[in-house]
Amino acid sequence: MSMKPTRRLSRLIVPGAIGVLLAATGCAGPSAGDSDAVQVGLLANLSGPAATSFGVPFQHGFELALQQAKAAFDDADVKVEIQTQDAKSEVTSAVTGYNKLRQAGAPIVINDSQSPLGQAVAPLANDDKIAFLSGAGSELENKDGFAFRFTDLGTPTTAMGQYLTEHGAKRVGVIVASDNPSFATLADTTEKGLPGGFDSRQEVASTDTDFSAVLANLRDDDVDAVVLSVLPAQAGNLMLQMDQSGGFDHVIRAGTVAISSETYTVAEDAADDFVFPQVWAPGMQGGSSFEKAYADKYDESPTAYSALGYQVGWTVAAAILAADEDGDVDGASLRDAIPAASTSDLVAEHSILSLELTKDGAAVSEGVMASFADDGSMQVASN
Amino acid sequence: MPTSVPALSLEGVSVSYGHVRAVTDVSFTAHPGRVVALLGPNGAGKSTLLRAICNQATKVSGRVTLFGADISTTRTHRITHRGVALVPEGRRVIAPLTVQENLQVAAGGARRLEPRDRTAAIERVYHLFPPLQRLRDRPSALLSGGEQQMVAIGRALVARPDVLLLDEPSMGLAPVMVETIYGFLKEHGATLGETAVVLAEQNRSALAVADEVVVLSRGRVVHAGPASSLPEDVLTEAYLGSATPEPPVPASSGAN
Amino acid sequence: MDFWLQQTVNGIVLGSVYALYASGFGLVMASLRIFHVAHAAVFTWGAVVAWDLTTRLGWPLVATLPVVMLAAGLLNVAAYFLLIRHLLKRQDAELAAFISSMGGLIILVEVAHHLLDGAVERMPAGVFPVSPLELGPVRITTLHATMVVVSIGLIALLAWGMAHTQAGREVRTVAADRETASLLGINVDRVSAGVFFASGALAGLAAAMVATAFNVVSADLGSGYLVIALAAMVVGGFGSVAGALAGGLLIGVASTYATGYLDSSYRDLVVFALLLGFLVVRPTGLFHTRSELARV
Repeated sequence: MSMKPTRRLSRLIVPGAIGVLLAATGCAGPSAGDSDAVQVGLLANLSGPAATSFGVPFQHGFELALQQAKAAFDDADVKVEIQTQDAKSEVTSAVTGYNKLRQAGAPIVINDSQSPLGQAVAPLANDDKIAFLSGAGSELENKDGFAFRFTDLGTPTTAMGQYLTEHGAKRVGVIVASDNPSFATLADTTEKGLPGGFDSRQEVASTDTDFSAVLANLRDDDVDAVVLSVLPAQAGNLMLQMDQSGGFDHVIRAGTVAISSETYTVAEDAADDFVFPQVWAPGMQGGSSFEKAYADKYDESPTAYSALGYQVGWTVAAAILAADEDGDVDGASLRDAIPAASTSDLVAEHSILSLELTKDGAAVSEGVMASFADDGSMQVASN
Repeated sequence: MPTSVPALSLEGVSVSYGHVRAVTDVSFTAHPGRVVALLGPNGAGKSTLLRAICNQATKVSGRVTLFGADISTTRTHRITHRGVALVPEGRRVIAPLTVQENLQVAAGGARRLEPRDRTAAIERVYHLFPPLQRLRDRPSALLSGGEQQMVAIGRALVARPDVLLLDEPSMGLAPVMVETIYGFLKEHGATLGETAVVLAEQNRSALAVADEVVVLSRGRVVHAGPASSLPEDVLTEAYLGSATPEPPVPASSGAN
Repeated sequence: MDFWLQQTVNGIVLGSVYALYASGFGLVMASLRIFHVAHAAVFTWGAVVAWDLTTRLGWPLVATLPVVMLAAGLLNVAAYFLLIRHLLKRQDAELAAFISSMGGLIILVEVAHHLLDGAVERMPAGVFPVSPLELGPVRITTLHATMVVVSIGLIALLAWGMAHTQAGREVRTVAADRETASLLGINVDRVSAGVFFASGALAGLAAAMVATAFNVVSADLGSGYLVIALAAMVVGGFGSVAGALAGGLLIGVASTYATGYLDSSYRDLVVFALLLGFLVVRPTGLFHTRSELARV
């Protein structure tokens, strides 16, 4: 999920200008395939730092959904083609890629992750009247309502607080990587789910490696649960040091949506009983056929981001079908169709996670409490 | 002239600092048990020459031999191991180390003493310079100039060198201290035995303890011969350019 | 009170690592008066070697320590001959050697970056039998206790050796006056190489323990400790091994108190306020060395 702070405005304007130039000179656009087909623009981070965790699994899930939706398209006599551009995990390439998709006539563009990318593309999409679905974690500029975010960090994170209360935690502590605003936000959001708030708040820097002082503070504050709002690897290191220093045997250890499999790589056995919210985890209700189809097609297990791609893929399919039913499939009709489509019967039938896209461009996603299985894979937490 | 193999022999030694020629074509020998006074005014090249013997200045030509063996390109510490000891200009005691530690370093560094003999060798130095005894554990930075000179000479003598090079040992010292410093040279046989000594001084008082004399002026040898028969005009000529015909008194010769 | 005791112990653990790092760094600083920043890279490589031996060959931590110390020591000796030695005769030797050492730091860190593929690696679980110990009200892990004992023991040994052995006197002689040292029969190069070896070996040891205790092996590991080590040296007194120990412990305890009683965001503030305070009130540090006397 996008955790990067907003980049400077100039970095958005320059690539934007380049994009406009490219558009004006008419160069470098992929030719539209079947002129009748609805061109779905997938602006995925297929290379760069966001590729492995976000871009590639998202693309896989998304393509699987549209492939499965083909029957529904055929029934409605709608042709759909996916045009893919690599956003390369950077703003310049994302804007260039977006412009190519616009030239190819795509009425809808989907970008998997990274706030700065979403923030660069959203104003262009609003100007161009192209529906834009983004995995950005931060707010997007959205003057005409064409931009939609499909990530909801708030709801699952708040649910973590509720989970702790339900599991009998009376005194809850938090460790925050305070040099990264995303983790401060996640901690604050978790606190909303706790009636009494945090009883102990410990701040660390993202680069810290020795935690004996903060662990001594937590023991002294006599907490019975600790929320780790830090980078995945640091969360793993914290749990290792908790185990080593002792005194945390009966303390519930909880994470945030930022936790990834990297946490397990660091902590291994020390991550037993660690609970953290995720958008989706293997073993969630109704997900088994998706997991199987995904594994058959790509020869690997889906991740939360594959699931998100799949869910967004079905939402896009439903929106196209709804727009087609009402008339022309263009940016505006898709914009109007998306909120309802996200909770439509078609999506519900194939849904593997709860994801509602609202008219104002936000997302509501309940998520799930996950934990690590013995082999380090994520699973739905047992209770 | 003695007929034995010279302990130290310089043959046509020239030394440069960058583009400046400091010593030109100097030759002389020092024999076991004898003292050679190396006289000359400030800037005549005495220190440079002594440093060149220890390979601490860049020789451009010439040869230095120790008992006939060429040590021209031998590294400084190995020259020391082979029995040459230099008491450098300005004493150069190891300031943070105590008197005892200075002597210990020298006793071990010279490599001529078995570890078990080092203590006795150091005690011999205290015997030679009794004032040092009560200063054993004092950092040598806190000693007076004369006391530092005793440490520096004691350090050079501790391992009984074959060749002892003294660079202006009386410089900056009170006359009474010069007496003490020179004391051991006067009793040469008792203290030094067969050690060959090269004593560089501006002050002609060195002649009192020397067997031979070499007079340097502007980096060249202008006279060499027995110390007892040094013609007065040679020395005067060597010091020409200074205001007085007599060599300057060391204590007041700080200005170059 | 118990809490105070606990945080003090935590501070001593952290401080003992700082001290080990600073004493090696300070040894070179005192002997050659050069700011050998590539020490940070030698530290990093100590961790990398420890990680490699434990991961690839499955060695326990204790078995790797002699090898790590040897490897880091030799790496630092190589750094002396390749980066430092040929510059010492220059007029601006200190600056030239600093810049050269900086170049070495960058190269060694970059190579480590490539080797680790830019990732933060972890020492495998179980390389050292870590279990919590309770000493009265204080908790300490077996690993942390080992770190303190080994660090303080080694530094004490080093301080004793510097004061009372011929090798120690030779090191101090070379530190004070290289030219005179060679006149006294000391092979200055060999002593300098020995100093670099000891310094590197201490860095390697510290790195292997840090990598295990704090679960981190990365190319930037050593660089993070560089400024802290400098602070420890200022507080303890430049060129004094005992000073590096005292300075390291003081900085470690101060930074732990800052985290424990204030907030970790005040930690650097406290450490560097301490550094600046010492520079104003006691610029010679806690243990001022006799070389300061020499300059009176």
